[in-house]
Amino acid sequence: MSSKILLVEDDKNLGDQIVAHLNRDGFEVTWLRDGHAALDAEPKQYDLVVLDLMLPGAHGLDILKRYRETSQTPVLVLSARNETATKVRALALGADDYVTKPFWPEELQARIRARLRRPLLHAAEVIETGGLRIDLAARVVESAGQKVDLTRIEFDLLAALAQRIGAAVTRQALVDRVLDPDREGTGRTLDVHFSRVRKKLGPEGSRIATVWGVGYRLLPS
Amino acid sequence: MSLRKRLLLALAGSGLAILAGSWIAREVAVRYASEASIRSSIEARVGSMDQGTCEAGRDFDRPEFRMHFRGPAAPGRPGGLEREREPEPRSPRARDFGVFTGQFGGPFPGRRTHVFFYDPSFKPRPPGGPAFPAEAREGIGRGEKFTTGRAAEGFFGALATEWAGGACTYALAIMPTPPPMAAFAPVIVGALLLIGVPSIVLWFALTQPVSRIRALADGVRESAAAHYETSVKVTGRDEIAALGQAFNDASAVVRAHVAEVERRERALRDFVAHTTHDVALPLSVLLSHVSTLRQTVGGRESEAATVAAIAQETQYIASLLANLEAVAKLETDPGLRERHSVDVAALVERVAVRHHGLAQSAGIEFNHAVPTPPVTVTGDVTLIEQAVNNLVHNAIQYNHRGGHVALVLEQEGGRFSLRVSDDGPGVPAADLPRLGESRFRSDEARSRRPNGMGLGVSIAGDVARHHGFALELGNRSEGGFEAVLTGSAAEPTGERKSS
Repeated sequence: MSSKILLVEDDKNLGDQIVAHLNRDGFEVTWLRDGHAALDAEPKQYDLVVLDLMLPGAHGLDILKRYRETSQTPVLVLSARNETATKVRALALGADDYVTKPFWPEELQARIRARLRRPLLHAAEVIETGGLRIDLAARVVESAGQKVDLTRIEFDLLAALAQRIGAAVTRQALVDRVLDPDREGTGRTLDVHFSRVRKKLGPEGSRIATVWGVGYRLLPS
Repeated sequence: MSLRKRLLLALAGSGLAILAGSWIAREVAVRYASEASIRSSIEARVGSMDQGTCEAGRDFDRPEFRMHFRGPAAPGRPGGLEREREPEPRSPRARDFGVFTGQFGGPFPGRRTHVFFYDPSFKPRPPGGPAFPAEAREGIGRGEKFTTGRAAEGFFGALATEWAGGACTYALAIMPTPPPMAAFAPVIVGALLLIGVPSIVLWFALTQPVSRIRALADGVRESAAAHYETSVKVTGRDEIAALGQAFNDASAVVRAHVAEVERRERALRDFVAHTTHDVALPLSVLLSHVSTLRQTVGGRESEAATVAAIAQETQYIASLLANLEAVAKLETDPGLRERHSVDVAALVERVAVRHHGLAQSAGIEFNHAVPTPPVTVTGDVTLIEQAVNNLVHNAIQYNHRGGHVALVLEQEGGRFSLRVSDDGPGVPAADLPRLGESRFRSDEARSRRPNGMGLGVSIAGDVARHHGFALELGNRSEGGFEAVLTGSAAEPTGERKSS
C-alpha cells in the first residue's frame, strides 16, 4: 500500500513538480494550495504532511499548531533557508523535520522516506536481507540457507553493518564497537577480519563493500 | 596633571620669579641707600667741625661721638672701640625711614655708622680704629672722589677730606651689615604672602569650574557608552557650557549619521533577504526539472553530459544564493544571537542527500557516514549546514571523474569531528595558509570558476570562528584535499559500545 501524503504548497509550479516526483516515487499525494483549506484538513487521514510555511490565508506555523492539537502525523516543513528562528520554532511546535528551499526533489523524497520508515528502525532481533539471515540474539548467521561459522569479532562486524544496511560505517566506529584495542589492535586487523567474513559468506560476501574515505557498508540486496 | 595642580604650579613659579626680582631690586636699593647714608654721615661729621678740632680729636668731647678704647681683644671681651654711651633714641619716624635719613643708622635699624679719620699713611685716628680697606686705598689712588665697598665689618665709604696732610687727611665710614636671617625674614614673609594667599584664593576659585569639567567629562563618557543616544547636561553660560553644547551638537550629527547608515544597511539586508527568498522558489522548480531530466535521459552519453552540466550549474547557483545569505547573516549578526541545539547527524544527512545526485552525474563516488548516537552541538543550524555544504560542494566540484568524496561525522567524548576528504588535485601549498581566511580566493579556483572555492571555504572558516569550532584544511598525504571541522558537542547519552 502506498503512503498517503498531504502537500500544502501555494506555488503552482513547485507544487506540480513535487506532486509529479512524489507520484513517480510511489506516493499518493493530496495537494492543497490555500491556507484556509489546509486548516480544515484532517491530518490523521495521511501518513505524512509536507507543509510550506509561506501561504495565503494562514501561516504555516498556525496550521502546524492546529494539526498538533489532534494528531501526531509526521509533519515536514518547507522553509526559507536563512530563517533559522523559523526552523527552530517549527521544530518546537512539533514539526518532525524540514527541507529548505531551494531543494532537490531527491532531498525531499529522502526526508520523507526517512520519516516514514523511522518506527521500523529499532525493531528486529533477526535481520533478513537477500540471502542473508542474521539472528542477533542467537548470534547465528545463515547465507543462502547454510549456517556460516563466524568468530565473535566477525559476527559483531557483520552485525554492525547489517543493522544499518546501505549506510556506510566508519572504520573508527567499527574498531570502537568490535575490537579490543589492547588485544586485536586497530585499523589493519579490520581489513583482515572483513576479508575472512567475505570468504565465509560465499556469494553474499560481495555485498560487503569498502567505502572510500569512510569504512565499510553492507549493500542492500 | 590636573588643571588645579598645573595652575598652582604656574602661580608658584611666577611668585618665585617675582620674589627673586624684588630681592635683587631690594639689594640694589639697599646698596644705593647705604652709599648715600654713608656719604652723608661722613659729610655731616666733617661739616660739624673744623680741621683743628678734627686733628686734635676734640670732636670726641661731644657725647654722641665719645668713644673709649677697650684695648686689644682679649678672651671674653671684644677688642676695638666702643661708644661710651648709647645716643639719644631717635624719633620713631627717623627710625622708620632710617634707610633714607642717612645720618645715623642705615637700612638696618639699630645699626650705626661709625666715622674714622686717617693720616696720609692711613694710620687711624683715634688709634685702634679699623684698618683702612685696601679696596678704598686703591679707589682713592685712582683719584675717585668717593669709594664704596664691602669689608668684613660691613659696608664702607671712604673719601679724601679737604684737610690733607694731617691726621684727618682721609675719612672712612663703616655701616655694619646685619646677620643674614634678619635680611631674609621679610623676604620669607613676602614669599608666603605672594604665593600662599593667591594659591588659596585660586584653589577655591577653581573648585567649581573643575568639578563642572569633571561632570562634563563623565557625561560625555556616559553618552558615548549609550552610542550617543543621550545628550550631556549643560549648565551655566560660560566656556564650559559652550563645550558641553558643542559635544551635544556633534553627537547629534553622529546619531543622524549612524541612523542613516543603519537605515541603508537594513534596506540592503531586506533586499537581499527578499531576493534570495524569491529566487529560492523558482530555483526549487528548476532543480526539480533538472532532476526529472537526469532520471529520464538514461544512457545517451552526450545528453547525459549536458544534463550533468546543467545540474552542476544549477546547484552552483543554489549554493551561491545560500552563501549570499550566510554572508549577510555573518555580517549582521557577528555575535551569533541565534543559538540552538543542532542535530549534526541530520544536518549531514541533508547535505549528503543534496549532493548525491550532483556527485553521481559528475561521475564521483560520494559517501557519508554518521554515528548511531545523536551528535548535538549548539549554534546556528543554517550557518553550520552552509559551511558543511560548501566543503562538500568544493570537494565534488574540484574532483575528477572517477574520484571519491567522503563526508564522515564522528564523536569522541565531548567533541565532534566532521571530515570532508577527497582524492582530487588538492590545493597548491602556497594557497593553503590563506584558504580559511575571510573572502580569500586562490587564483587557481578563481580562474576555474568565478566566486568559487575560496568564497565557500572562507565562509566555512567564518562560521567555524563564530561557533568556536576549528577548521583544519590541508592536503592529504595520499593525495587529495581534506577539511576537518571540530568542536565541542554535548556528551552522548546513548551507549557507544554494544556487547
